[in-house]
Amino acid sequence: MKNTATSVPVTILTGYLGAGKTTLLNHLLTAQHGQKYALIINEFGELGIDDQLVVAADEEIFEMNNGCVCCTVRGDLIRIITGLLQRSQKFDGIIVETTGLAAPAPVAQTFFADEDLQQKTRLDAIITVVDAKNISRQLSEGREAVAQIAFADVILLNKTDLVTAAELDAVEGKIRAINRFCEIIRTQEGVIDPKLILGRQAFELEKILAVDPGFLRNGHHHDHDSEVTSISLASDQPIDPEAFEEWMALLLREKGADIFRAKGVLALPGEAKRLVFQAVHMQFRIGFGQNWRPRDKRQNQLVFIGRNLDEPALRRSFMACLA
Amino acid sequence: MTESNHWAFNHFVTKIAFSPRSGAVAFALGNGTLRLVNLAESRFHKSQEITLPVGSGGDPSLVQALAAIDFGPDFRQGTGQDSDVNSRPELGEYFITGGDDGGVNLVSLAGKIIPLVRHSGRWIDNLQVAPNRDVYYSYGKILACIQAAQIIEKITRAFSGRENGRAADLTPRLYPPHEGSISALQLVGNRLAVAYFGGISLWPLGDAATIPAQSPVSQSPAATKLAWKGALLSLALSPDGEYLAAGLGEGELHVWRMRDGTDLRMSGYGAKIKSVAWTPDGRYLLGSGVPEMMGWDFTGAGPEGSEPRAFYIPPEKPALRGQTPPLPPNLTALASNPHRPADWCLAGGYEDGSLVLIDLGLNGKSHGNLHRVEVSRRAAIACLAFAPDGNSLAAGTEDGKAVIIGGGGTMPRPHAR
Repeated sequence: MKNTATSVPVTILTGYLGAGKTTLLNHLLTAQHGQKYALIINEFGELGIDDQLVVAADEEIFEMNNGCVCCTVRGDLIRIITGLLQRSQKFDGIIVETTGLAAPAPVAQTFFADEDLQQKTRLDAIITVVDAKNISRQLSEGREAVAQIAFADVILLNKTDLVTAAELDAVEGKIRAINRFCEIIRTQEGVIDPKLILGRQAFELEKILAVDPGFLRNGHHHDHDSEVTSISLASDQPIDPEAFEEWMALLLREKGADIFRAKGVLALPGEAKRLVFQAVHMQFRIGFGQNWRPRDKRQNQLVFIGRNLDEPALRRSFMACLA
Repeated sequence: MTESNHWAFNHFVTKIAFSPRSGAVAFALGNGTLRLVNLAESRFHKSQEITLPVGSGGDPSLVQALAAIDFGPDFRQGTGQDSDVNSRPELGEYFITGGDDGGVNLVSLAGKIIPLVRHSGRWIDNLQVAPNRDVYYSYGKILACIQAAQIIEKITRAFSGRENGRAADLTPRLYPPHEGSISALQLVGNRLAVAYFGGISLWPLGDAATIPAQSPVSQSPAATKLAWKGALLSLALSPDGEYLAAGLGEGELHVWRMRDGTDLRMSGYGAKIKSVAWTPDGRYLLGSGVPEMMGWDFTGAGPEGSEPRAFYIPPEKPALRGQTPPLPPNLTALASNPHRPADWCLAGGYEDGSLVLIDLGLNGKSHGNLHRVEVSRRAAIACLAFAPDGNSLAAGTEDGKAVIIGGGGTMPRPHAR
């Protein structure tokens, strides 16, 4: 299991063309945060960056394991990041920008599937920039917009000055119907405190669940506008890690195509550290996170975001893994 | 050859190259510098530090590709030029670097830097010098070539002190984009093998006498393709030129017989195969990505259905109390001695920082000797190279340790059993 202290955090930035990714990047990288980032972008555009390392990538998608779509990775990212990691100069983080229409899966899967990146980097968060004015139309038009929201740990609801308060609430409702576990931050012109989106350690799950702990109790939420939904499972009883891993391996092999994200924090019998779990489609990773603190409630918490989620079946399998 | 000289450069050793004649070694480092060492000349084993031009954003540019080139007497004699070594002292040995600033530079053994070309915003990933000293390099999906005559003309300008001697102003010949980013280049007789995700393209080497620099590539014969859907990371040609082997990201070796294009697969490797090597007699093929240095036998009926022969198995490490024993380290780099018959014919670098030399008894005198050197205690061997004369070996690690074994007039022989 890898050491999160020495691995480089990676932030994936997605969002439709025109949602405000470039403006956000310019803002993030010129803000005086004293951090050094490597930025991997699609093409050199209007970025006005002078003191950060910028690399242009040619999106190149490989199919690992002979043609399974869920195991696609970005070959260009493997090459570029392997090169970046050879540098003596250390980075506080790596930011990967994806093209507007790209599904985030191959980018995210790269960090699970490649053995070198698995060892030396960690996926910190997937950030999706959403144009508050146009997102409703984009959601009804294409699967990419839905996927970008389903994958997100954080959604920057941008251009909030261009819509009314009522419209904004409606948009948030649509986002929540797809992904109940992301944090939504309202912004204008991409202005945001970099600390809110970089180096989040989004997979220390309390952050995700802190969005609304109530989610964990009311289980399934359904919106008929969208086939992509989120569900959560919880239990106070510690889990058998082997049974859990076996279940996940089987579940993701069979249903991984429909599961965009799965994340969890698990309590093992007699273990001081939390077991942290995350998955993107069929790729998953389990490792020890921080210690449980005295004030924490030792609880297993698990969330799924995907299509056709069978909540009762998932709950039954989950309960069968309890120690 | 077992005497070791060690250095601690403290920066990731990205690439190593030997100069062809004088045995100087260049180590490319993670801080954007080159360290030159010549054991034959330096009694104190001091290294010379050369800082390459600074890349974008004020960051040092990292050398991602490194090779050596020699315009000395042998070359000049072969091209009908004045071969007196003293007549054009600047036409000697150089290292060539390709960096993540898109620059290709010549670096003389005295540390003079001569920029050749610059592809802004691109990374130079691979370099290969052809026998006629044309330099092939790749960035992304593009293969490019600078001809020997262009480089010689550039050296002349650089040494004449003219202003344009310092500009990266050569015009390379560009090949049409390949299907994927180029991961490796390998000379295959009079062709160049170019590997990428999805296969290998074999391009006829351009003949400097017949193809002008700026002519479109369409005027030369097209590439032959060897298709395989996989991440081809490394290439090695068998010494007799019969087989081309590729190491795959998917933990498989893929081998083509050049004569008829038939292919073979050998799987079971636990990690990406970043390095492949043939024994100097061409009998065995080895791949990294496993703990054992093991070779597939290509004599007789070939490796199909056979078990590979293990030349070296790393010792098991003791388990800490109450824990399962640690997994044995994987091979991360392999090199084959280019000189035959050599005593030490294979070298393997491990992810635990150890380096193993193997003597296969190909000289008919000794058999089965091993020599093991700890280069680093915590980081993997990142690169390995034998000297062209086969008398020394250099290795570098991810944490900046480096070693040269042999060279400098000290070449102990393996003991006969």
